[in-house]
Amino acid sequence: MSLNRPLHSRAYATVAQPRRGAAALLVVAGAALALCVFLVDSFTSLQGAVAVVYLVVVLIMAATGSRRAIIGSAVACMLLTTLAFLRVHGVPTLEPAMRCAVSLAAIATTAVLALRNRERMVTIAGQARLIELTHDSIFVRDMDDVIVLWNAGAEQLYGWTANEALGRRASELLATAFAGDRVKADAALFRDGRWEGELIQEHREGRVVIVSVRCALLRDERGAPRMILEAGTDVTTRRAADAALVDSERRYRGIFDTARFSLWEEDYTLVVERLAELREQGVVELASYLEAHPEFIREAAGLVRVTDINEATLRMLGAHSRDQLIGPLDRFLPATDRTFGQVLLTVLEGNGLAEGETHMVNLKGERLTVLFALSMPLGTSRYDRVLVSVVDISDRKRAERALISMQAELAQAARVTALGEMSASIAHEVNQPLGAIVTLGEAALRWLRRPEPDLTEACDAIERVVHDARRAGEVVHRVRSLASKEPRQHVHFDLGALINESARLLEGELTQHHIVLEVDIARDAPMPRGDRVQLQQVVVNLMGNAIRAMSAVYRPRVLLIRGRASAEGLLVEVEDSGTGIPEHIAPHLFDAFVTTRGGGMGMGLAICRTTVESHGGRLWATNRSEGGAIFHFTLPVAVVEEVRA
Amino acid sequence: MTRLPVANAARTPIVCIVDDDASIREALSSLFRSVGLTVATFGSAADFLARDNADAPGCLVLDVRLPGVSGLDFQTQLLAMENPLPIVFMTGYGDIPMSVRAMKAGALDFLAKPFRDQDMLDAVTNAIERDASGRRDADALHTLRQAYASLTPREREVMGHVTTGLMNKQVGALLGLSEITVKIHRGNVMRKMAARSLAELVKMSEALGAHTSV
Repeated sequence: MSLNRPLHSRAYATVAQPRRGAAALLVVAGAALALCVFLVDSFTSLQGAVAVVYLVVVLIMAATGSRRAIIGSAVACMLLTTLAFLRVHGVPTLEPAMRCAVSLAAIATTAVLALRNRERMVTIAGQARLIELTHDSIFVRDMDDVIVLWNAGAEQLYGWTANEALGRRASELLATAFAGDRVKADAALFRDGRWEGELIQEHREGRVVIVSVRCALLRDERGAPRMILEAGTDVTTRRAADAALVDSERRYRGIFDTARFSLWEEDYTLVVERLAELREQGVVELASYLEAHPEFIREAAGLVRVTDINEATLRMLGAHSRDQLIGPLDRFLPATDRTFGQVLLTVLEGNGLAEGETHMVNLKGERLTVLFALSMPLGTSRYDRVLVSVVDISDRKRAERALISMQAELAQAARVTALGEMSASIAHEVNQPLGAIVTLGEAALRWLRRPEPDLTEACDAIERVVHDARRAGEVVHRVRSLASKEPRQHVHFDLGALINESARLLEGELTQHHIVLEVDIARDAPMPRGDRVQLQQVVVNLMGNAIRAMSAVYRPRVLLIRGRASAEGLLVEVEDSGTGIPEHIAPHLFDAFVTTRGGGMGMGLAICRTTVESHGGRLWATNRSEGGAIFHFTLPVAVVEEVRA
Repeated sequence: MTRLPVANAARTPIVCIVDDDASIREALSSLFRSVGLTVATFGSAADFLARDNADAPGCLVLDVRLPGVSGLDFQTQLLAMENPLPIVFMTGYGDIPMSVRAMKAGALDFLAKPFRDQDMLDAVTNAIERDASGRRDADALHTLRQAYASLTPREREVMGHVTTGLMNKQVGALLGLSEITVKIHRGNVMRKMAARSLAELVKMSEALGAHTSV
């Protein structure tokens, strides 16, 4: 708002800042009047009485609003009065002198009053200026509701200019509607002298504006109400935003409460504070800190407060009421949980979203497999309302596991069937010559036992016996060398990649049993060469054994696979922290059909050893002193190519 | 008993061996020959079907597992032919369903390798005997049919009525012949059919079956 802008107040306009032209005119008029009075006073016999008209001159000058003009005019008038008196009366006599003195006193008094009045006007003008300067809409209406003051804020708010608004009835111009009770509002205004509230009014363009209004009742000296000052702020957009926010909140609530999947609101403030403490203590790398202090993850989970949950969550966790679930989060995370550490890292790195698969424990103590997504709807700087959605996939996982185990059983059954078929075929191959041998032997006997033994036929038959017996032997030999005669593709391959693939195959079991897999392949470990598929089977088999060996132990479950160079080429070690190899099993560990498991066939290790040995390596096992077993196998760096038999 | 000469009665039975394994074939051949049987060996079902004296008496010793066609399917094929040879099955790994199927289809025996020589010889002897008796029955029927064919139409009529148990007089009344004429026809029928009694003629009539009803 420009400072030069004229005030739109009719009441104070001329006093507060008279225009230059008008002021000059007033000065000229005053001066002319003063001259006239002087002439009349000096040259007529009205004598003194006319000097009273000087008061008018002073008042005219006062109208200019200039302090100098008032004082100047008063002094001038008093000089002129004195001059006229001296000129007419010469030596002063008492009575004219008294008249003159009264005139002078009157002029002086008028000047003083004019000055005081001016001071007051200047103050009011300053206040009016303040009104002008404020961004709020301010207008004043008299008791007939006629607008008498209208500032720029009002013009901006309602669209009407001061010229248009002044003199109009406010309630008509603005189509004022009360949000509440008008009578009460008026009563409050007259009782307390002020009222605050919201009004629905109309802009010049016809659109509705919601105005937050503060009204003040101005009374005169006698206490009669004179004017009402109405200051207003446009809250239309704020109200719309508020309404949208309320609507959004209601929608959010609706979704939150009725979603078919579990939703949680959690407060991470305490955790974040705790982490800040850690940082002050000099912890820089949170990831490595968590690695070194896994117990902190548990502590942090205890600091997370569950603040709200929905119906689906109650169902998922088997709770009856919300109160059972509100509180620390750690009650629902299994003791071995490690996912939460990842969540913490993600949250603190300023990523607004973390998601993954983890386990939860319901109120019955049952373990659930869930998918979760954590987001921070209030931005990454506020941790008091973190929204987490959870989907229970236990059933799906169970089905998956059942499927996998079924597949495994099927594969086993297929192997058994294949074995059966192979043995049937071997039996047939051997049985044919055996059958012929038996029959030929008997025929030979019959030839010989004839009344006249037929030696030629008997010899024939026996020769065939020999031939067929050889044939049977060949079959047996062929079966024995079947495995080693399989054509193989020996290639160089990356041990690390092979272990990664194997770990992926066993991912489900690793997760299920909470096993930490560590792979440590030395830089100088030679690159193995051999039948990748067969050797992968060996690795998977050994890893699977290790996992099962650890599934029943309660110490940290670590599956460590090492690869390094040795005198025999590449040495691979699969180390577990499980139950170790029972003493009575150890001597027969690699025999076929030896198993410590109910479900196994006991072929795994036997086949592993055969495979490794067919690659020119060795496979053996040792127990760790601190519990668990290590399976070692070697692969010569340059595997001698199979020599065909 | 006056019988027409039987076509194959005098012919030596031949034991046909069908097995894809030469050792088995030779072993069996030696065994059968050692007890004086005549043997013919075939490496496949097709070879057997293409043999020269296809109607020779004897039996068939067959391996269930044959290249090209299974022994059981081969059995089905053979059964569809006239004068099928009795079959003795051998198997390396006989199982119950397979044996049941083979036996139901008329296999005489089902021997698992390696078998005892005596078992095989018994089975084969049994089969040859079965074949011979089968052939005898077939020959008898053949003779009967020839005799029946030699009857005049009037004699067949008379035979038809007589074998249902009618008296000569009743037959004469039915056919519009005198009792004497019926008697002469009846005598001719008995002679031509070589029946020694009415009971025998009735049996022959039953054996001929459908052929009697004109």
